[in-house]
Amino acid sequence: MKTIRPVLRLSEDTPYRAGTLFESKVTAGSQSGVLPILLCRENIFFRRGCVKQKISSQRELNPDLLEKAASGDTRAFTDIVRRYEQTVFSFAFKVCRDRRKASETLQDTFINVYRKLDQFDRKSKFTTWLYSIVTNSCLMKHRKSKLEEAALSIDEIMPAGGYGEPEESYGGGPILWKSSPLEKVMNGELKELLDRAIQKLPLEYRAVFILRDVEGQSAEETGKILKLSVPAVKSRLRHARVFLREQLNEYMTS
Amino acid sequence: MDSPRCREIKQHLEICTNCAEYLDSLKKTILLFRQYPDPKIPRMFHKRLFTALKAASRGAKK
Repeated sequence: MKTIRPVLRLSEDTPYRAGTLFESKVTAGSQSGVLPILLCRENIFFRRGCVKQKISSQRELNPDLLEKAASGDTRAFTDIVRRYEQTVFSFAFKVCRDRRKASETLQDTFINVYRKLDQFDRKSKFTTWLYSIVTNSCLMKHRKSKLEEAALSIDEIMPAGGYGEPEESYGGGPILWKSSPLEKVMNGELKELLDRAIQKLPLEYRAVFILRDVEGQSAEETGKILKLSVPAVKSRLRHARVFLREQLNEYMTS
Repeated sequence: MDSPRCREIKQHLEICTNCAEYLDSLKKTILLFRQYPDPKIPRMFHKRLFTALKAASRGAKK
């Protein structure tokens, strides 16, 4: 029996919520029917150019819920935690690349949210505030860790002379990446390579790359979260992209 | 994206294979990291979080 794995193609403005039940018309040979699809992370493919929906694009919290939670309503606070715990954990993991640290960050983040919710000024988006707490927690953990001692500065990891023309910055190796990432299977080997590559990147650059390119935050929001100017965000992002590209180059051209 | 500078870059990319391929590899780098599967929060971590929050809540009420 053949298993059909439906893939949903969603546009940017498609309402997305895990748990939503879609009905999809399916044709197999001469037969067709309606297949119910329960929306979850695994069966969503976002149109090229659309970033996976993360904390930033989830509907903003109802102000009443925030008010209630800030005034000590435990049930309201629990609703907020349940709504964001998975995305906070995923984001923390992407920054720390360590499940234990991601778990500690998850706890620290929500304890800080609990303690400081009444200080949240409502001028910025709740999600921006939440991201800044998660990111700060990751940065503080990293600074405390022994890894920090061994971490290299961006000058040490980047090619001497900065970035000139592509043929200068990549050291003369092949440029063409024959395999499309969409065709490459995200196997254990590739995941390990991505983990190793991003762990070599200083955390200050890593956070910018993940916020901008993986989470889909704007340069302005990223600047607010990390307390950086927009030009500084752009500069770090450019360095991070080039560095990560260099790390993957051999694998992608072999 | 329609600024004179952007148009200049786009025109260059049409004639320079090196730069076009390099840009393509940068885009693929980003896509690979986007495709990295989100780790599911382990049940144990979820429980630990709520235990920690209960403790914080009790501490705040004292």
